[in-house]
Amino acid sequence: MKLIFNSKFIITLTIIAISALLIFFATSLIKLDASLQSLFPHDEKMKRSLGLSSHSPIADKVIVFIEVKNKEDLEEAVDNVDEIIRRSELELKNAIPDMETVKSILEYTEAHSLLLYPYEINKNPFSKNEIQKRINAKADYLMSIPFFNPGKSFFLDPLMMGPEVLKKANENSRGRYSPKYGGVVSENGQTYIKIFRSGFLYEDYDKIGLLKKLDNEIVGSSEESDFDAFVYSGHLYYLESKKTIQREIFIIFILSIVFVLLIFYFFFRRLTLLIFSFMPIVAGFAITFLLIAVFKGKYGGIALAFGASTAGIAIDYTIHYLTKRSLYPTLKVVRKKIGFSLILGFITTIASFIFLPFSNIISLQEIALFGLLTISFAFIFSWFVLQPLLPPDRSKNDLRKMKFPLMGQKGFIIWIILILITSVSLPFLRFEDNIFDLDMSHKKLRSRLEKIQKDFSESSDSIFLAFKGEDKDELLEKSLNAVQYIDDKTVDLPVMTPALFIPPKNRIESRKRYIKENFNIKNFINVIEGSIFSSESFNEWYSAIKNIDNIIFDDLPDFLKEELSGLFIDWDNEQYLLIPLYKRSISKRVNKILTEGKIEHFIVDSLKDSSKGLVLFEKNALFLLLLSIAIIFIILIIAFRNLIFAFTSLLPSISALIGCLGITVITTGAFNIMHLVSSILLLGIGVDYGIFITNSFKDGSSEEELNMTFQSIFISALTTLAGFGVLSFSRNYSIFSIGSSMFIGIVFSFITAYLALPFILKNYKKKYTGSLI
Amino acid sequence: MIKRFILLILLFNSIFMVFSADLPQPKNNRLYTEFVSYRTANYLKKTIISSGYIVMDGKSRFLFKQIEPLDIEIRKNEDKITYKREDMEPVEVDTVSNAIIFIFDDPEKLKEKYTIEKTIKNNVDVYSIMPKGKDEIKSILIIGIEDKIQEVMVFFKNKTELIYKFSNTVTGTKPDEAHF
Repeated sequence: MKLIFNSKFIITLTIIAISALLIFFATSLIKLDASLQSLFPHDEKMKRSLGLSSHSPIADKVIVFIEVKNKEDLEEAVDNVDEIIRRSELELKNAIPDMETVKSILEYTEAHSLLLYPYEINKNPFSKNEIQKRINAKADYLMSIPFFNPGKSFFLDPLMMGPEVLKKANENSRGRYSPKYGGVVSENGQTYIKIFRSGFLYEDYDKIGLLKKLDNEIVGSSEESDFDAFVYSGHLYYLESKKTIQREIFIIFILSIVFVLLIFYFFFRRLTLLIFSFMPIVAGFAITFLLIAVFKGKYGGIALAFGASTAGIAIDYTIHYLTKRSLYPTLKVVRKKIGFSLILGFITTIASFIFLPFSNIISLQEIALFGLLTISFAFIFSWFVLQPLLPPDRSKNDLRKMKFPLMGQKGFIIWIILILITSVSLPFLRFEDNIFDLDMSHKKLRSRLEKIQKDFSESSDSIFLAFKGEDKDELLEKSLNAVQYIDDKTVDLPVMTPALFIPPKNRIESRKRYIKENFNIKNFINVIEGSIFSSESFNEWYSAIKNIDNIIFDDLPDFLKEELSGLFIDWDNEQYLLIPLYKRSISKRVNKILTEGKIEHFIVDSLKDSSKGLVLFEKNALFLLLLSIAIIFIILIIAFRNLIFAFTSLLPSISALIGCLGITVITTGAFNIMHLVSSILLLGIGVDYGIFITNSFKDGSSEEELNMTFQSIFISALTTLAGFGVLSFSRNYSIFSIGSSMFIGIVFSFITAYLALPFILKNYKKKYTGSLI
Repeated sequence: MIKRFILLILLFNSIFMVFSADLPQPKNNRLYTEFVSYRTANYLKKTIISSGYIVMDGKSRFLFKQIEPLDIEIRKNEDKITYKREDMEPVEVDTVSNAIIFIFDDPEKLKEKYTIEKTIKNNVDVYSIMPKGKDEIKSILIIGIEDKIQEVMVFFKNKTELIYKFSNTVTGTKPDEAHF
């Protein structure tokens, strides 16, 4: 009862309650961004790659895959899945034309065959032999369908040039214009895909949720009916990543707080002390979340996951105070004894974040902001609120005390061996060049992709053959030039271009010239006379030839209009044409052929385009890290006015970095952006340990004071380990990277502070002051 | 490959000849009949004549076989319809869209698109079939006695005429398997 009415306790509880409400309110306003794009460094090539990919024709693609054991069962399986799709709330548009649509496309190619046919690369259709061959084929075509009643377009294409154009388009689009059951069937007849345009992108999580529901229904139904079916799309990667991060952030946050508090309670043994100590962390989080909700609105999931673990750093100021206050009579004396170390430690921790906002990477900027705000507000609350609320009181000292005997030379040698062993791995360190390796492993989705790619060329990879131009016509000309060049060089590399259906102006003019120069009416009439067709059958076609200069194109069929217009992208005030290539092996070959032929083009590949920039960034970041070390070293020299003390203060940080790089080699093998974040944090944390130990030796602390210093560092290390260690269990590699490297780094920091620093400082003092500690 | 899928497209849009509930159905849905067809059009120099036979054993088993001038088979087995021309591999045709199979299949579907009037002239049943909506067909005339059709005449708006004359028709008896 006495406790409940204790005003200090009430104040503390009030602050905690208000903070909890603020956190709840603020987190409900913050929009979570689980994408990896916030990890991409911003160089121009990468920016263009991402910008174009996000507007690309496959950005909203959804694939439905079906596999049956016997091909006779395929139609029923397709009907089954179609019914589920029809019932779905999503409006998915079939990107594969139905038979009616293909017929309209055929009619379009027939009606415009004169100007669609690529005379520049194909056989001359107007030679006597060719006309004969083609008219025979036309007759054969007519006779092959017993009840066929040809329409107008049939008579606008006596030489069967239209079907040739459609055939080429079909080959280059991998069978899209020869659908079966509304999709594409593999050669063995047992697998099938249907491709849809969903109309929404990766951030529309409501719709993606419906897509996942559709997937679950399709999978469930297929399992009951003994066939294999599923949905595959890029959206599902985002959803899986987002759900995993959301779940893990929540667990990380709770576990982190629980472990920290448990460790705290073990050492300080009073529940009320626990609640008091909790207050600066919760208050720090509350103000941080509120500011983010008000000024940012949207925040990266990776940055928030990191943010949850700053509890382990923020509590350090409380731990150091509560551990050491038992030694001194008043708050004033405590602050005199450890204030310098606390403030210097805070400054150097903050200083380690200073360079992150200049990284040009959104995630790192968010991590820097979150870290700076949380740690700063936690420090302020600890110094101005907690310390006055909990002044030293020797009568209430329940602190569990541990002994930290000095290990002397033995300890120093152990430390040296540890550092040397770890350093052996450093030459094997490489830089991460694949940004997608920072995401979680999407095993199930990857295996689905493998199934699809076994029989089809589809994928969700953003790989395109791209062209840039002043206007659509220029883009069409460039793409047609490229595609025809590829066709000339190889037969098994189908690449589609909208110019097959919409020729550029220059080509139209050159084809008109070709027709005028090569078409001979007499040859044509002679052949018609010997055929089944009456002499007037193709009069309209012949009139079109006579009037070739005035021919204009009709509107494209709606399906083609929509499909082809999606390939043209207006981005950053420039016009682009993107042709999906689907596979890296294809883009490599295309790029090689076109580069050798000096054909203007470029390849958009988000993965490859980020690779160089990423590695360059990581190398530059290491340089920034060295700069941070230098800055901190200078701050320490100014503070201590002594090189050795500055060095010993920094040594735990340097050891931590060695440990961090060593674990990188063992775990992921590649130094990535998250390892960089860890390195920066370890710099700030490690120097705290170094400052406390150095100061203790410098000020000639008593044995008890020194032991308490080791204990406060030990408790700090434990809480930081608890805060970051839980991140090591994350399935997301970026979070795992930061967790594992922080864990090892802290261990190395503490070991250095406990085993190496006392030996170095003792010998330094002995040598230069003649006194022993 | 080009011909296969072009033919598929055209098969989809083919004119169909139909029987309906009001038209004579072969007894027990079993039929063997030989045909000669005449296609006359202003885009043809002369009439194209083709010949062959139709055999049916139940609603799910049907074969339209043209022998002259080109070997063509349109085969229905259960719900699967295939088209084969000369030596090419049979290709499956979309069931829903291939109206040719309405011939001996679903009388109700015919009634959705056409009106049928029956008259009797000289002891012969004459069915006059008119499309309800917009169609390339102008009219169809079917002549028969009881369950045996003798002639089908299709008149298109573009003045094309397609006439099928049937002979040696046998209904009600299971046809020889060799015909399939």
